[in-house]
Order: sequence, then C-alpha cells, then structure tokens
Amino acid sequence: METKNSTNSFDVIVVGAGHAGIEASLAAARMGLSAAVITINLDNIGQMSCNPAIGGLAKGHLVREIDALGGEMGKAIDKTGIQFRTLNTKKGPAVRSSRAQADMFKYKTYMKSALESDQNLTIIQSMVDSLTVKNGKVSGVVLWTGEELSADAVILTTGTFLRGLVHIGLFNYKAGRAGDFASNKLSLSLIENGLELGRLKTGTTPRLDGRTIDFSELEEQKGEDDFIPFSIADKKINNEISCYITYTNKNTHDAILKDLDKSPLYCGVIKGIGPRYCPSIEDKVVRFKDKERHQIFLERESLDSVEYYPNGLSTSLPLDTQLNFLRSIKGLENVKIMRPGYAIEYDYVLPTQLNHSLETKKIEGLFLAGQINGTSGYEEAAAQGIIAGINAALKIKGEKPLILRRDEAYIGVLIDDLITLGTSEPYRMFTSRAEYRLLLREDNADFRLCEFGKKTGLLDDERYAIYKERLDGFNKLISFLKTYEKGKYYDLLKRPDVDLESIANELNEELNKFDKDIISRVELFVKYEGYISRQNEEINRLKKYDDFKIEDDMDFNFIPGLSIEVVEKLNKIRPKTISEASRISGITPAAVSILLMRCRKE
Amino acid sequence: MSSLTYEIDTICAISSPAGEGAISIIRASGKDCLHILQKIFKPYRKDFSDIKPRFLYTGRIFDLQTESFVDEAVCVFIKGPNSYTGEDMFEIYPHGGVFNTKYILEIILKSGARLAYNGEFTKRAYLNNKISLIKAESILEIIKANSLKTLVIANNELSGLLEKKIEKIKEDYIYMLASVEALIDFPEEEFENLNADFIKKSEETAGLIGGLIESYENYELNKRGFSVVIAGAPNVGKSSILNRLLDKKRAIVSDTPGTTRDYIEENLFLSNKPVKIIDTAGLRETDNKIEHEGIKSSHDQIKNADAVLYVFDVNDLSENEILTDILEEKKDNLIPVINKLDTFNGKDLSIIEKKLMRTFEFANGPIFISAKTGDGFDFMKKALHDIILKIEGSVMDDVGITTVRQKNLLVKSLELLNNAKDKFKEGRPLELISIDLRDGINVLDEIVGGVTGEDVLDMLFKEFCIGK
Repeated sequence: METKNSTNSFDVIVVGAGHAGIEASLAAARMGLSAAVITINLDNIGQMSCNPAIGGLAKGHLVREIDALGGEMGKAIDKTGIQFRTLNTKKGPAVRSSRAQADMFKYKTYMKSALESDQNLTIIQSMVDSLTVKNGKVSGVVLWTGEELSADAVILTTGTFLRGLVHIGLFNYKAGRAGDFASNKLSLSLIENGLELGRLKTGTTPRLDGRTIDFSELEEQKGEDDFIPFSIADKKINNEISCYITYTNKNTHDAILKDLDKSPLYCGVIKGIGPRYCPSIEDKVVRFKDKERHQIFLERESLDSVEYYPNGLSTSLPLDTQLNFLRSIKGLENVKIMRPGYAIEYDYVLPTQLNHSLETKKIEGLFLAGQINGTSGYEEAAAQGIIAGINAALKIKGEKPLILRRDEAYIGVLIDDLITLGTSEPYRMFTSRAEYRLLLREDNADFRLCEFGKKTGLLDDERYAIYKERLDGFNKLISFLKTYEKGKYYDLLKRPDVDLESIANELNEELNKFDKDIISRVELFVKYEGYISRQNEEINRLKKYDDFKIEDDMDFNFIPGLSIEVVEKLNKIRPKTISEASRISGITPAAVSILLMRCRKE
Repeated sequence: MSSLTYEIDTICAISSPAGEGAISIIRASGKDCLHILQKIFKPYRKDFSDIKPRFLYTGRIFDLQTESFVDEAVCVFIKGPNSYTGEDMFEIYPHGGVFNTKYILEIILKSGARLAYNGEFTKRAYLNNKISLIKAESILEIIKANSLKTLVIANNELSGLLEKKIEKIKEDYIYMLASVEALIDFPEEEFENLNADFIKKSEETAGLIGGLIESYENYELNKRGFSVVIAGAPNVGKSSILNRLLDKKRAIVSDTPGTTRDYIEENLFLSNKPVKIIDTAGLRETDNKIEHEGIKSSHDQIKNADAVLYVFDVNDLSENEILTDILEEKKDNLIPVINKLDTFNGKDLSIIEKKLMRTFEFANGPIFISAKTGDGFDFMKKALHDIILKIEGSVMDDVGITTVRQKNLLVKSLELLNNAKDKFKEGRPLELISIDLRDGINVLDEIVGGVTGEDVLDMLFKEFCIGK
C-alpha cells in the first residue's frame, strides 16, 4: 500500500482534536497511514469542556477498553490525574468502576505532545467548512480559508461545535464552547449530502474561585493509593488533592425558582434536548420538588489554577442568579464566579445513519465519532474515535472493519445502541445498558480486547506483552486451584463469605507467586462462574440470530404482517441481521419471527 | 425456517359446527384468497374483477372439475391487514348441509388452499401481530367456556384486563430494576428510602403474582363446574334423587341399604351452569370392607364438594355423628333434604322441621321432596342455585389467568422475584439481583410483550433524581 504524503493530500483527515479526534487520528497514524488532524484551536487539544475528570460508572470500563485496543486516554489520565478512586467498592465486583480527577491543563499538554510525537500525523489549526463528495464517496474537505485537502477517508469529530449556540440566561451567542468559534457551515454540507441532523443541548457549571471557598466545614473525599492504573502499561498513580462535598438547601432552591422566568430552558429559547442523567440544577429543583437538598462535589481543575468545578450545578440561569444561589450554599457564602455556567445547543447526525464500523451508510469513506453521533462524555467520544480511526485505516488497507459485539465490550454496546436504537438525548454509557455486565468488567478489559488491538496493528508490543503475562498468570492460578487437593479450595471459593486471602495459609504459599491483580481476577472468576456461564449460554442462544442475515435488497414494505411503524423503522435502520433487527426499539417479538421466516441462515 | 411455507400459503376450514344447520361458514386466509374466490365464486349481476372488500355478494359456487354450479351462497372478501388474521381473507356462507359444505371446501382446497390446522387462524393473527399471545389464548377459552363465569373471565382476558394487570406487575418489576440500576450506576447520588421501598415493592408484587396464580384455581373450578355431593345415611334414597335430577335411571336403586358402594358422577346444567352431581355411598359404621372403602371415598367427595345435599328419610331423623363432622366443614353450603315425602304419615311437616333445626345446626332450612313423585324438586334446585350464586359472588375479581402455560410462567417469575428479594435483604451483589429481576421480567414477557433496556432507563429517570 502506498501512503500519501504531500502537504494537502492524506489517507485520513480527522476534523476535531477533542477526545474522539485524538484517538481517531492516533489510531490511523499508528496503523501506518498518513493522517491530518484539523482543529479550530491548537491550544485546546483534549480540552475538558465540562467535568475535569475521566472515568466513572461504565465510563471507567470504556477507558480500560480503549487502552486494551492501543488507545491513549488511559495512559494520559494515569500520568495527569490528581485524585483516583474506585466507585461501587461495596457493590459487586462487576460494576466497580474507576474514576480520576484530571489536572486538565496537564492533560491537554500530554495529549498535544502525544499527537506531535507521531511522525505520520500532520496537525493543522483551521476550520472545515464543507466536505468534498464525489459519486457518493468522500474525497476531502474544504477549509474556511478556501484550500482543499484531499483524503480517502474523513472522520468528523466535531463535538458541540456544529452551529453551537451558548446560552447564559436569555443572552446567547454562537460558539463551539465558551471561548471558541462555532462551526457554522459544515452542517449545511452534511445536509446537502443527504444526512439527517438533529439538535441536542448540554450544559456545564460555573467555575468558582477556590480562594473564596471555605473548605473548613466541608466533608473531604480522599483518593485511594492502591488504585489500579487505567492503562495496563502503567504501574502507579499519584493522589495530590481531595474533593469536597456540600449540599444545596431550601434557600438555594428558592433562589432558583424565583428566577425561572429568566431560564432559557423554561422560556422555550432552548430547543435542543438535554440529557436526563445530567439535568441542570434548575431542572432538578423543578422536577423533584420534595427533595430537600442536592449533593455538590467541589473538584479542583488543576494544580496550576484555583478554579473549582462544582459538580452537580450545571445551569443556564443568568449570571446574577447563579451567584445568588451559589452563595446560599455552605462553604460558598463568599464565593466568586470566574466563568459562568452555560448551556450549549449543537447539531448532531442521527446515528441510525451509520454502519457498525461508524462509516455513514450514505457517504462512503465518511466516518463520524463522538458528540456528532449524539453521545455525551469524553470516554464515549474516545471509544468511538478509536473505532472510527481503526476502521478508516482498515478500509484504506482493504481489510474487514473491527466490529465489537455486545458481549465483547462496552464499546460494542455503545455503538450497537446508537445504530440500532438511535438517540434523542445525549447518550451516556450505563452499566445497565450492557446485558452481559458480568462478562464486561473493568478487570478483564485486556483479556477481552488486547488480541483485537494486536490484530489491527494498533496495540504496541509493550502492552501486548504485559497482557500475555497476565493471562498466563491467570490461567496458572486457575489450574492450580482446580487441581490442588482435588479442587477443594476452588469449590470453597465459590461461597460468598470466602476469599483467597482468608484461605491463603492453606495454599502452601502458592499465592505469593501471583500479583494482587491476578488474585482478585481469579477470585471474581470463580465466584461468578455460575452466573457467567448462564450469560454465556444466553449469548450462544442469541448468537444464532447473528447468523440470520437480512438481505440488502429485502423489501420490508411487502412483508405481510408487519405494521406500518415496524416497516418504517426497518426501512430507516436497515438491520443486517435478525439480532440487529430484534434490538431496534418498537420491533416486536412477533415482527422478529415474521422476519426470521424470510431469512436464510448463512 | 421450515415454517416459511406456513406463513404465505392460504388456509381454509369450515368454521361452523359439524352437522346440519341453516347456514354454514367456510373461512380462508392467505395471499391467494382473492384469486381463489374469483375462481370459484360467480356473483349475480356483478363483475367480480373489481371486488369490493367488506361487501356481501350473493352468487353461485362454481366447481371447476365438473364445470357446474353446486350451490348458491353469500360471500365476503376482507383485505389484509385489516382482517382477523392480518392477511387477505374470505368467508363463504353456503347452505347448511353436511355434504354441500364439505364439497365446497373440497373445491377451495383444489383451487390452491390447504386445510387449516386447529387454531391456525388465531395463530396467524398472533404471528401477524394482530393479537397478543394472551388474547389468542383467551379466544380459545371463550370457545371452550362452559358457564357465564368462565365466559366472563375469558372475555376479560380478551378485552385486555388481564394484560393490564400483568403490565402493572411488569411496571413494578421495572421500578425495582430501576432502583437496583440507580444504586449501581449512580453510586454518588443520595437516594432516600430506596432500600425500604424496594423491599415493600417486592412484597407487594409477590402478592399480586401470587393472586394471579391463585386465580387459576378459581378459573379451573369454574371450568370443571360446581360439584354437588348427595350424601346421607344408607337407604334414604340418594340414588333415586340423582336419577330424578338426571331424568334417567343412572344409579341402581334398591331397598337394600348400602347398594351404592362406589360414587357415581354425572353432569347436568342447572340454570345454565354446569354442575357435577356426585352420588355417594351411604354413611354409616360398617364391617364390610368394600362398603367401608366406599364410605371413606364419600368423605373425600364431601370434603372437595362445593355444595352438599344431605338427605334424610322423612320417617327417620335419627342423629348421626358423621353428619356433625360434615356440618363443621360445609355448614353454609349444606342443604338438608327430607326425602320420601310420599310415604309421610305424620300430620305436620313443621314439627319435623323444628325438630331437625333443634338437633342440628343447619345454616339452611330443610327442603321436603319426594324422589318418587318429583315433588319439591324445584325448591331443591332453587336452593342449590342460590348456593352456587353465593360461591360465585365471593370470587370478587373476574380478572384472572386461564391456562397452565400462564400459571407456570407466573410461578417461575415469582420464584425469581423471591430470589431477588432474599438476595437484596442479604446484601448480595446488586448486579446478581439485577439478573434475577431481568429474568423475572423476561418470563412475564413471555405472557404478554417486550420490555427493552430503555424502559428501565425511562423509569429510572422518571423516579429518581439523578445528575451530579
């Protein structure tokens, strides 16, 4: 294969250098292609526009999966994080998740260097105004300065920039986020090329001056020093700061309710749909009237700055209202706002127009990743970015795309949900979205995905070797337990009240040969073996539906028994297999059985 | 799929009951309906090439083989998907003879249809998304209904009341699942009273499922009919009463006490209700082994009966220990019957009544009859009917399940719910509890329709304040 390398011709062009754009461009470049990444502002590569944190429930899973495929996010946060914690330690092991506070400035610097250190990658500060499409195939982009860049594949990771509109109270202005230009023309180019767009809304909190916060009476939340780093390549992390917890109260709620008429959300100024799981504080106060207080986490944004992020206080109320209600909160009595909270509306592409490879069905070679697909969250964006990058590269190399199944990765669940269900609000990952939650754990992300990373050529040798070593240790310990004293301890370990530590003395010091990490993986594996095999059976049962392919030219309009709604949905999404069809919302079991009768098994 | 052919071929069957009648009904469903109908039906005065759906046409049935007309009939064509099965259908109403109806069916079969299997029209309606499984079942139950009560229950099922009830259970389930998922996915949120709510909800839901499971027993009882046992001392004329009720000589009667040694069971309709009448061996102390077995079986019958006719000889009202036991169990549903009125030689029946009521603690007054002449039977039937109505009335809720399939699924779902509840109380991992709840919902789903992951999230966001 010949790679292009002139100043305006590339294999892959990535538009945007946020969390999706970074992984997409690194993946393509590391897989040996010439790639260009175009961003409106080079100083904001890997910017954390909202929460200065990586991970969280189900998101921690995504970060570890990205790492296992050869991505950068895990390594970046391990090195730039300032507080690390494991969530759900008191609940079951399968739903434990990692979360870290980032030093957002260091994180940005780390990511910019990561891009700069790749020789295959060209980095450009500019804005893309339109796509060039020939015969249904993308051939490049046109910059706002008029130049044309050509490429075999284009990956759009535009975040909230497409016709972005920022709201603070009833005041609004065009911006990609506070402080950056909006991209006002690219949407039109997408529409002209036949893509259907929608509009979403999200929001962020005001940023507070830490010098004006009284932490003395607030509850402190410390990091954990025995935290397992996100990347399998990393050995340790550093906890540098604590977070603090405070609460809203009746006065806060009154101050908010009094000024609802100045809220763009309640005056109908905002038309985009916001995320239900991350409502603004005004939304929470209105919808849950009986709740006397809401919890607020005060999170420091960087060791080099006094700015604090009050997690839980996303708002688009006017600036003076923001200050009013903030000052009613304990610890914030004298607070000063450095940047106001705001809401932002932006265009997204209805994701049902994508294939599982993240390539659009209509325009060949055009891939989309991140918020442009209706998702929310840095981790969700990065997860799509790495898949889009890998698949753009594989396509150019003439290879089959990498498509992860729902039982293989949260990434698989994420992409399959977007494509088969679509989304009308910003889509966030939850563990409850994964039907095979017990299999898709943080601790086994490397076991699940490193081979895929290796096969695509993205995963480096260092990480692959570590994975191999761990897999080996895991298998050794399992077979030791299964054979030692006829497997007595293997069976004993299945009981809820027994762990390996408590029976370590009886195991003849064998345990000492293994890492703590391996020991806990084995423990988990043994304890949940029954449930895991139940899920495996279910997967095998459903897998047979993957084998029933729906032919591309099947005419759903003329299948008797399908209701008009069902036919419309099928025509829109055009599922490729029966199992895809069965996951589309509104497709009834009866409709699936009708389809089944018309499909041949491959 | 081998069933591919089932779904597109055209099926046909005689829908009216077997035997001669005024008019028969032949019904067909499938893609060739229009084609077949145009081949075999020649309407009077109308051009059949642009047949209007849902209009009645009068005309003649044409036999292609003999090239002759075989009957005059009315037909209607119903265009899918707005038909019972969701496919194109037609119905032909020929004259109600046995031969002509069958012959017309033959003609249709030769024109490209095949004979429908039992329940296949309803099965297609289900497969074509016209009705839920539960409705398909209820239609079958309506056809099989044998009393007003069973008809009402099956019809409530058809009209969706049962589905609504199951939907409610499902909603509760989803609420519990949403609670568990909220605890898992939002570890840093504060949820008030969530634990107590979960346990309360799980207990309520278990109660609702348990209630539905019990409703099956009630439906079964209604379906098999009410059982009425005729009991009493030997030779008071129990078998004669049965024979008179049935209007035939079913049981052997004789003057020798203890003639009926096993029980005899017969069905009859009493005011449109199916009633099972059971004649039992006379109740007395005995050394005879066979008779002893018979008496033991009588006791079992009485225990299981819905109502008891306890028979006395008008000339012999002697006390009876066995009766005292029966009275304790069946007091409200026992009717004292004084037989052999024709042989009464005393003066005043009211003396007998008073004596009887003094000796025994009957809840119902005695009925005087004569099995020989039939006197008093109307009163006895009325008294029996009143008791049946009373029993029916005590079953307040007419919404219940009607098939073993539904019952088994509910039992399984209840078991999973109880597992989840116990694990929650023991503080076991939430993701395991979630699996039990999901399985519990899936089992419920087999009764009605689909639940998606979105349903859980919708509930979660509706019910819990979330969002840091």
